[in-house]
Amino acid sequence: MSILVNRANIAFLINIFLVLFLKTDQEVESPIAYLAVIVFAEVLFLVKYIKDRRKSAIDIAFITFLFLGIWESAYKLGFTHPVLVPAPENVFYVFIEQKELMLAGVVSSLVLLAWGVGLAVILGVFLGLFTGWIPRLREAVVPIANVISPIPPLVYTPYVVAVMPTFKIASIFVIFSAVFWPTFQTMIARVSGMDPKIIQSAKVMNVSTPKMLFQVILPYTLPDIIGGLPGTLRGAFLCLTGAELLGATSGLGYFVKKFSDYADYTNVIAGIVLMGIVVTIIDVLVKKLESSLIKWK
Amino acid sequence: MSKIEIRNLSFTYEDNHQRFEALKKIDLSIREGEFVCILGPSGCGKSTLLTVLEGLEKSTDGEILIDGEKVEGPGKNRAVVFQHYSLFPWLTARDNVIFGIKQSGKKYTRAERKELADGYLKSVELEEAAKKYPSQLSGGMQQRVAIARAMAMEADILLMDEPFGAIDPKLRQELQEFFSKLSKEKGKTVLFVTHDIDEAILLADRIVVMEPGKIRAEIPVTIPYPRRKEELAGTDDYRKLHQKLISLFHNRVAEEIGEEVVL
Repeated sequence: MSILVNRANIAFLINIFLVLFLKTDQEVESPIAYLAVIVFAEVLFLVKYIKDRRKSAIDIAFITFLFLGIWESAYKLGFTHPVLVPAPENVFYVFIEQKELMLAGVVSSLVLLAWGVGLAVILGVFLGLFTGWIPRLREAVVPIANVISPIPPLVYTPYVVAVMPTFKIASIFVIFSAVFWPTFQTMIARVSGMDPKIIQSAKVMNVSTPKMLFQVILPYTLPDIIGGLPGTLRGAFLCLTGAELLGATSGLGYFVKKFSDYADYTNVIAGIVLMGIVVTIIDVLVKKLESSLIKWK
Repeated sequence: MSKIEIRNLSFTYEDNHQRFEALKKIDLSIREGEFVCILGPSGCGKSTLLTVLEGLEKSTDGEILIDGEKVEGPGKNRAVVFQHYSLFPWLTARDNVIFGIKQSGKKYTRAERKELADGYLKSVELEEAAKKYPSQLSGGMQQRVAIARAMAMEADILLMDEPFGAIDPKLRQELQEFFSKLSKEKGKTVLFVTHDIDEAILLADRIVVMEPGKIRAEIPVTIPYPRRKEELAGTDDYRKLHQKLISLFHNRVAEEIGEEVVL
């Protein structure tokens, strides 16, 4: 298929046509934000496709445009309830209308996320490193960890929010416990199950214990730790937004919750889209971090 | 005084309440600068002997003295090259060697360490690979870096645990000749474990033939260095020695049939 004439580009043009020329009796905001999104998606697709020439790029772009086109025409032709399924124009217009509140929400959520995940990963890795290395400590701690770690943090979130002095501390705590236990446990498993050849060759080189932990085992396990981060972050994000539904005064989860209370589903859907964007950006950044930090794999 | 003195050394494995005597009262002494090959079939205890010398395992009985001092664990006077390529995969070839230099305990500046490392890499003819990671190097190249790292530790004694066992024959011969030259130049005392009779003849001042748990014979090799495989192969000295070793090696092996024997 050529670069210009393919399913994705045809779907793109149909979408533009639908936005500009399909008449409707329903209430529609300025299409400027929605058009920007469609054009952005098209540019992204073209750049990707010209670079890699992968058919999947066409398919993904086509599915996206197909979905948007159906949404747009269903709304404009009056097939759906305008309150429950708002126009895409309106949903994306929220990003202009509510940009301050959204930005504040992103910042507040990311700050909590950074604290919770940061503390949990650092402590989980370091404590896991020691615990994994010292058999007696490991044998005592692993059974205890096995009892605590499977409890889903969402279950005790309401309690933590009620008990902690501020909401911030509560949500950091919840994120921390969602991330700490799996990090700690996998770290123990990685250390105790480490390639004995590496340990042996370090031992015969007379490596001291701190050096063994921080200059041999830590760098060896680093790719696994970073590789596990996207999953960890997703879990943390889940807990954070869960906590925000309960008692926050700002944040991504709060944004959705606040407008749900007023049945303002245009804003609710915009909030959900925003979360998707934030999670995707985090994922991409972590992958970049991984490839820039781990050169040896 | 000998460099390494092994006295009455025994080592017993205990696995699932099963006892296995891997070494039974071994006595062996090795002179400074001597190249000793320990030859024997799989399971004869030759690698166990080296593991105890490395300090990774503690003997159940007897002792090892190095320069008159008892071995209690790994030490700076010994460097080890394993059969498996034991380089640190997250470090470049140069940084692997620098790790060895740091472990030698000598104080160098960063620039000195780099220069020294490049010198060691040059001595194993790998200066162009300094910035490469182990995963980017062939097995033979990795093993040469491992040798450079072992040299960089500036230990008097090199313990080699079938270092060329996993390398293809043509390259193995190059590495053998090269390592023989290097260790003699640097005056290292070498204990080299192998199950390859030709390798032992090519490298050793003395060949220690092991049978399960014990030393069966100690055979001096008087062929002058440098020994080249092609030149050796036709000589009478070589043929006699080879014959002798084969009979020592195989008498035992023949009795062991049924067990897995890798030659």
